Formats: sequence, C-alpha cells, structure tokens
Amino acid sequence: MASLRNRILIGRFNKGDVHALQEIYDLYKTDMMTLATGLLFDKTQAEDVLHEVFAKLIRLQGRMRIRSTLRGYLLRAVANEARTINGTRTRKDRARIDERGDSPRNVDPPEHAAALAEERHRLERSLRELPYDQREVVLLRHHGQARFKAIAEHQGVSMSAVQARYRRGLKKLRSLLGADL
Amino acid sequence: MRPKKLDQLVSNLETQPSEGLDRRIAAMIRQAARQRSGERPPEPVLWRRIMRSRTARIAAVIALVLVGILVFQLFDNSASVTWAGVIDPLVTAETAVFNIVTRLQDATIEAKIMVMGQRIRYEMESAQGPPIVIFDAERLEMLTLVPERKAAVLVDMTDLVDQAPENYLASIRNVINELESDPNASIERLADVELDGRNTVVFRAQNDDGEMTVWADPETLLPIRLEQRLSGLSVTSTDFQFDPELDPALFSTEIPAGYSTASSQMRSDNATEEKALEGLRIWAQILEDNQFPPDLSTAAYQKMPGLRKKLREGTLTLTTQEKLDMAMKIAPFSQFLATLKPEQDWQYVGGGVPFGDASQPVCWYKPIGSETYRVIYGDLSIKEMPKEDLPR
Repeated sequence: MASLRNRILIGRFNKGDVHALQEIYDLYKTDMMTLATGLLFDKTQAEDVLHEVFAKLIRLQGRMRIRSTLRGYLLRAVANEARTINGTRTRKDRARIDERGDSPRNVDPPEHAAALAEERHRLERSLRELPYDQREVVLLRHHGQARFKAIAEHQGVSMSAVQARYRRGLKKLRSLLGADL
Repeated sequence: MRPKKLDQLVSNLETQPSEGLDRRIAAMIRQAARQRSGERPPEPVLWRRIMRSRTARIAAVIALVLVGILVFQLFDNSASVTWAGVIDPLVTAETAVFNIVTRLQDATIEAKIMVMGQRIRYEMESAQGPPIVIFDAERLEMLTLVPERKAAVLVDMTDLVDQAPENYLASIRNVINELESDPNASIERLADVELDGRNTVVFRAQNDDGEMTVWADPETLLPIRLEQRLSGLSVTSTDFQFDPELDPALFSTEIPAGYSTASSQMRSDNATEEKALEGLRIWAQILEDNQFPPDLSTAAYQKMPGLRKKLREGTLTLTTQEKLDMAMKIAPFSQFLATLKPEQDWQYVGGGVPFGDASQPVCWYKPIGSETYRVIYGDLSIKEMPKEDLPR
C-alpha cells in the first residue's frame, strides 16, 4: 500500500500537482534530514541540501521518474546534493567541522535516554573518522537501504569499488565502536 | 551480510528538520503552484481544511443532503433523491469526470461528477433530484439548479470554512493516507481481476472507520473503479476520465438569467443541542403533522407526510425561499447527530410520539465527559438522569 500511495503521489506530481511535493516532503523529511546531517555534520548545510533537492524537484516540472522506491530516490538526491556541498568545502572548513567536538553544529541536543544519546555520539564521532565516500556508502546502505549497484551508479565507480569502500568503512567503524558491530 | 547492530545505531541518528525549513519548503511549493496555475495562491486554510475532523465534514454533507431533499423534492415528483453524498472541496487543480453511485442510509443516487480546480459539478436525472449542483470550494458557495423550472438555490457556506466537505478525489487520497498511518488498518493486495475486459490490480484497505477497494490499471495505477464505505456512506466511482478539457462555465455559481432564486447561509455553529431540538421540532410539527417521525432515516425525512398534505390541500403555501429557510432550520439536527460519537450512546425512540407529550421520551444521549444522560421528551423538555434510570 505504501507503494500505491507513493505511486499516486508521483502520479499527481507528474500530472502537474505541485502540492503532491508537500506530502512527499512531510513523508520523508526526517529520513532525508537524517542522511544529510549524517553526511555533512552540519544542520544548516543539511537543510540547504533538502531545500535544493525540492527546488530541483519543482524544476523537474512533473517529470519524476522512479526506478526503485520514492524514498530511495529522495535519499540518493540528498546524497547527490550533500556530495556537491562537501566538494565545495575547503580543507579549512572540514577541519573546522571536525574540531567542533562531540555534537555536529546546530544538531539538536539528543533527547533520547542517556545511553541512546551516548551511542549516537559514538556513532557520529566514528562516522566523522571515515572518508566521505566510505561514510556515504555506509549511510546509504544502512539508512537508505540502497543496493551496492545503486550506490555505485551514484558514486560513479564500479560495484566492487563500492563494496571495498563499504568493507573498509565497516572495518574502521568496528575498530572504533567495538567488534560486536 | 548487513551488520544489524549498525542498522540499530544508524536509526539513532534521526534528525528532524527545523520548523524554518518546513516553512521554506512549503512556501516554495506554494509559489510553484501559483506560477503553474497562474491563479491566486491557495489559501492556508486549504491545508488546515485537510486536517479537519471527518465528523464535522460528514455533518456538513448530511445537512446539505437534507436541505436539498426538502427544497427540491417538493418541486415535483416523489422519487428518491440524495445528491450530495460526497460534495467535497478540492485542493488540486486537476480536472476529472467520473460516475458515482452514492448510498446514504436507504437512499441511492447516481450522478455524473465533474471536477475542475476547487469546483465540482453534479449532474443527475431530474427524476432523482436536482439535476445540477455546483459546489465552489474556493468561494464556499453551492448552487443548485432546476433548469426545467428555472429555479435556483444558492447556499453561502463561508461560515463553514472549517467544516466544508473536501473534494471527493482529495478525500480518497486522505483516506489512503489515514489508512496507511493507522496501525490498526488492514491493507492487502487482492488477486488481479478482469473488469469490463481490462486487467486490473486490486487493493483493499480497512480500518475501524471503513473500507476502501481500488481497481486500477496495472500500468498507470489510475483507478478504474473505487468503492468506499464510511460512516453510513457507500460510494462507488467508475468511468474515470482524468484531465479532460472542461468548460469553466459549467462550474459557475452565477445564477442564470431568468431563474427564480432562493438563498441562505449554512452556519458553522449549528451543531448545538438547542438548534438541533429546534430542527427536530420543525420536523415533528411541520413535516410529520405534530408527531415525531418513525425513525430518523433519509427515507422518513423524504416522506414528510404532514407537509405534503398541507401543500396538497392548499392549507399551506411555501415559496422556494421559505422551503429553503425551513430546511436550513432542520439541518442542524442532522449536523448535531453526525457529531455524536458511539460512546455517547444516542438512542431515538420517538416514532409516533405526539409532539408536546411531556410524558414520553423521544431520544437520549450522554454528553462527552458527563456521567448522566440527557433525555428529551415529546415536549422537547430535557431531564438529566443516570444510565440505570433511562426509559426502557
């Protein structure tokens, strides 16, 4: 049924009903924001990513073509925009973000239980240790439920290269977060 | 092999966008909609209206149904007539044409529906009711036309902005949304079936509020047939045409030249006990000739024997405006009933009770939050009593 709903939303949008985008945004904004923040560690830039994604969707003029799922489509769009922003960051910017300490700038303080918050902080710290490409593969794989093939197309490399990045990313995370990962 | 622990950890990263971003995105989408349509921007109220309670909308629909019945059934024939099971404003700019069969209680009506933007036009056989009903959700006006009699009724619904029923197509989408977000909903894909020579995919969704079944083209997913059951309403839609060219004049709520006109205003504060009882009084005294109706069905309402008798005998004459005024006073009773929840335990036992009989109960219900019931008697007096003391 989720698929039917999404197909109806896409159908409405492609027939010119821009308001369908609002429903799409309401449905997936948290997923998109989570990925953008996880990639960039900067909430302001993450919000810029979402804004740009929807601005581009509007410019599509109702020509949205979904090959897999709407959620996957949107998360790959987020990854594309985040990659662009990351590419424009200077070395100084990256160093500044990396020096910010435990919590990414502008990210709301955790409201979960203390243990949950600690886990989140550990993961954020660990993800920050990964090169961007590896972080992107891990998040697209585990948050976006994306297939290696789709990630490979997104990153413009072979599937084996993506799998290698994934393996290296996991290895690094295991070394930082514990062997039980 | 996916490390499940990492899945769990990643789920902890959930981050919400700020309200500021929500506003920016919404503004951007509204602006795009304006640019595309070339029309003035949709009012924020349209978004709010989507969120209105279904109860209020159904109350408004039922009230409008009853108004239409009273005003137009007295024009001519005695055939069954309900015309507005699903008068709904809309929030999209799409046009559509489809056929609809609506069943409300024991009445059935078949109509052709045309949708353009926020306007909707119903066309029926004159034997079934008013042949043309145009509802403009932007102007919140409803125009009913009987061309053969050159009669028109215009109802101002601007006071119902919070309760106005939504466009039927939009309501379908909202039902889908509600079903999807309802953890208790049962949603299943049924086996594909052939419908009128076409292969169709079929989905059925159910929750406590009702059931919806959609037959759709497997390629386009556009609905071919749709059946909905909800709160006493049963709606079947078929023969959908999407985005046909439609003449805007078909949706005008301007009264045609040469038509006699009656007009009134549907008010939002109608669903009070006081106004409901005034509606019940008119129903009993005037429609039923001083006794309470056998039941509160649409069929009972349509009979209105007392009023028919007086009109037939010529002891009472009513202009269209007077009929409309009377209908608008009865409508709050149905609006009130539609707002009652099952736990309020509404009971009607007034069939045949003479109007004015203070010894016989007519109906009772329990106000929300109250420990006692409100029991209404034949003289419309009210007594509060606990459940164990209710009339048997």
